[in-house]
Amino acid sequence: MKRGILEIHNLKKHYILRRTRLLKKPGMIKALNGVSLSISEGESFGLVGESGCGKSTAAYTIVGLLKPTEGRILFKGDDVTSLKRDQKREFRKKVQLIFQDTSGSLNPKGTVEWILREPLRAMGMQKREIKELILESMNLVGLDKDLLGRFPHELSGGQKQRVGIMNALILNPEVVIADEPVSSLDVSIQAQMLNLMNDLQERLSLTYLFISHDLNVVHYFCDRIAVMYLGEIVELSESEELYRSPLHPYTQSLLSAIPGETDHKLERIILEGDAPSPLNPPTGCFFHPRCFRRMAICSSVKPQMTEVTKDHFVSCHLY
Amino acid sequence: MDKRSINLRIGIVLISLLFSMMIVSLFYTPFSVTEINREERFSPPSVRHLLGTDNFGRDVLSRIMKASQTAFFVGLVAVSIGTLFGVTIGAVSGYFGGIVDEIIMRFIDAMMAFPSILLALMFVSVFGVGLRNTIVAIGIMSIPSFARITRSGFVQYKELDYVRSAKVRGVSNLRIMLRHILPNVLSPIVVAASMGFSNAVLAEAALSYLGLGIQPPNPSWGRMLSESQVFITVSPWYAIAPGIFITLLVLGFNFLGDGIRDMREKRK
Amino acid sequence: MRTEIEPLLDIKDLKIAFDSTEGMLYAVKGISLEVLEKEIIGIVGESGCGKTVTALSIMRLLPGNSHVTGSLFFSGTDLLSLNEEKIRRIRGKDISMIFQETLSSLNPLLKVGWQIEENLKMHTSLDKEERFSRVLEIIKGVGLPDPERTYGKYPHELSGGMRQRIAIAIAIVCNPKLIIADEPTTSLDVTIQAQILELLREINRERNSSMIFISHNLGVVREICSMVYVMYAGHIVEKAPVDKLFTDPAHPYTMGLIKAMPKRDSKGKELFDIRGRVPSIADMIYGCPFEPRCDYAVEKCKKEFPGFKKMDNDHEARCFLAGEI
Repeated sequence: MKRGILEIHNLKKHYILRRTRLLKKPGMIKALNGVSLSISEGESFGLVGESGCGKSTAAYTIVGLLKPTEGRILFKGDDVTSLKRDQKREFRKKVQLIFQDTSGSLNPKGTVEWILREPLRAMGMQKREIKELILESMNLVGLDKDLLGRFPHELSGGQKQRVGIMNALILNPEVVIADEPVSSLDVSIQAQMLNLMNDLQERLSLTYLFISHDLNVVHYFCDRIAVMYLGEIVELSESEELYRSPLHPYTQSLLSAIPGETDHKLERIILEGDAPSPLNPPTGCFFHPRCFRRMAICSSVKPQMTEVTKDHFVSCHLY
Repeated sequence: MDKRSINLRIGIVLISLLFSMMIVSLFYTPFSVTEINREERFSPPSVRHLLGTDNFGRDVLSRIMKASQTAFFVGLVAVSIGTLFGVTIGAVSGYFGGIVDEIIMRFIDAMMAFPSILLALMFVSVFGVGLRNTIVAIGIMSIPSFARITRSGFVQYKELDYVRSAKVRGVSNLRIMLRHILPNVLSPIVVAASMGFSNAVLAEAALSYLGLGIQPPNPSWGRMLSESQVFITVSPWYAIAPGIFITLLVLGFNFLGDGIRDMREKRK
Repeated sequence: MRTEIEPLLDIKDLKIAFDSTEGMLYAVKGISLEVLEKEIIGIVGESGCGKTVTALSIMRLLPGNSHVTGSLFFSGTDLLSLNEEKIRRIRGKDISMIFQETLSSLNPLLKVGWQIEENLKMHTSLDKEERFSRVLEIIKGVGLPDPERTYGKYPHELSGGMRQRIAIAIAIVCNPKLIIADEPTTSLDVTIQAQILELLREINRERNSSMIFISHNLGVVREICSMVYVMYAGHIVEKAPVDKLFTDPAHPYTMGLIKAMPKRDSKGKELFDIRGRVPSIADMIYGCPFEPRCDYAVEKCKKEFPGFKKMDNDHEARCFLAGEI
């Protein structure tokens, strides 16, 4: 793996459930089952997958909201997997998170100014500095300073999203993890947001980890994409390459499921059944029960991640 | 549709009336509370003695007024104790979870398994009677419900994105609990406090009625009830008056609590 | 041409207003549309355009402070003129509805099988055994495995996709002529969405049910609808057959929406940003509602909101400059 600004090595997050029956072994949810990737400085890296695939878990684990069960997280080469309070504080200044865009990420009891002030207060900044910084940030995301005194419910969807972005950028991070930042926005607002995020990336030299279930958005926004299924990465490649020649059957079905594309190179592939729950993952390759190209070996042996063409990795027995 | 619910209005009216009476009693009562007047024993309600006199000829109204101070005082302090400790315990338990939560909740569950009056009774029988112990006992007995409500609020809110957001931005746990979560949980706590007040008034009345609460010379509606029982055939007003006032105060706070809850529902 | 066929649902000049402290606020300001038999039409628009309110008005599900005027002819009967009793007989039987959130549109305390059966109970005179077997049949028909076991499940025991299939089962069990689907796939994963869309297409084909498909997602609408109505601020601004809409949009708003969507070839370029905001329901609007945000607006647009300009067969747009841009 190339050295990147943010790297995760074999990250695992397992949840052990409460015992439901006395003599039965407690169930385990393998939300993340060994995820490794390396994000280069200045890049926009996309993480794509459907619900339950573990992408949000990955995001929360990287920023320290969750403790990983196994694996390491490296920032600029330093191990940041388990940090003490002071170190964590420093780390928080460098790597931040934009939450999923429901207005739940803004405290309904706080004004915009209060919401933005809190992180700066926590960092020990002085009042005057804080005020200046907030005004600057409002400018940066294109919001009028009159909105500082408003409450979240008084803002429009687009405005709330900008406040959410500001909240993440106000600490001047180097890496921003965006968890479904545009998912529930109307098309026109979504376009505004993506343009804004691109603009900010240039101005502030940011690196993005962009998490979404919308392949079109991720393809547009990101340089490289990793596809996740049930806690694992099944394919990883440069974004245009992924679109042009998706190798993993899951990626192929994801692409073919995008509605309204008339230039479907692939016949519409409709998967059977629902996504299995992470509580009882299938044996062998996790995807095999729904895979339209499964072979005998797929149900018993787990495939390894291999580089099929330059910088294009897949985890599948077909290759 | 009124903006303010009818419950809220009734509650506020009742409480204000009784509160005003209490304030007035701090400076003035129609008659002395302790002055004995043998000629006027057991006189029925009249212009002079609006609520009649008791077995010592003391003006019942004046005694009621003075006793209202006790009712409010005990209610206020006891609920404050209950709220302060209950909310703190509940917040810590709900926010941090894990083994701390388990242990605390088992204690709370144990406390809630007893009828609260019994707990208060146990306390005063161990530590003695009197104003201070009554307040402490009632305070302790109200801790569990505050703890429960607060805990459930914190458990609910700590998973919300804006709390996670504060954490990720480096805000300290204490500050998150106080300034990010608590304001959102305040509403049910206030309702519980209102109900708690009325429970406290009832509890004090019950304890004092049994002779285990407020002791003479401190006045108390509850004790007036027990003292007047014997004379109920001779001067019923002496027994009815404290009962009515207890009811009014309790109702007042109950209506207030309901009213606040109604307002919250409406806002949703 | 569509106007030559008798429509199943014929909406004319529908206006929907709500009482408020600021007076009557119009969410829908006079729209007309037709749904033919066996057709799937789409109503597309962003939040606040009035599409959901329109759907609810067809089923007469709006709250008490609403005022609906205009005409809603369904198979020859004006739905707005019917009393509550008669409308109840139509709801669930001749016209049914599917909502976006299955966790709130399904009763969490009842088994899903019962919920389907309830519909049969209300609208048919079948006895218990007949109802039960119909329910099992329909559960199978919407693609759920093991109908007997599924019957006894509660909504929270099923996944999002399965719940939506149940909601669809409830909607189709009495063979309605018209199904209204309000953002039915918006909260589903994209592969599940593909399955549900396929199911809806199958229902349309095999059961001859017409559909009104409401969405803010242009891609989905393109996927499943044959005729599309674009709504903005309570008005219909463009209507066209689906292919025409995407290859030759006539209204600037529609064009803006299509340009704002990230597509294969958008990479590296800035996405088109329709400046400004959607007007709120309380805003007073003179002239064309889209004018403040329109790159092509002329002076006339501030004062007058044009009627429909005909582009082609079944393709019309409310814009002075339609066809010239």
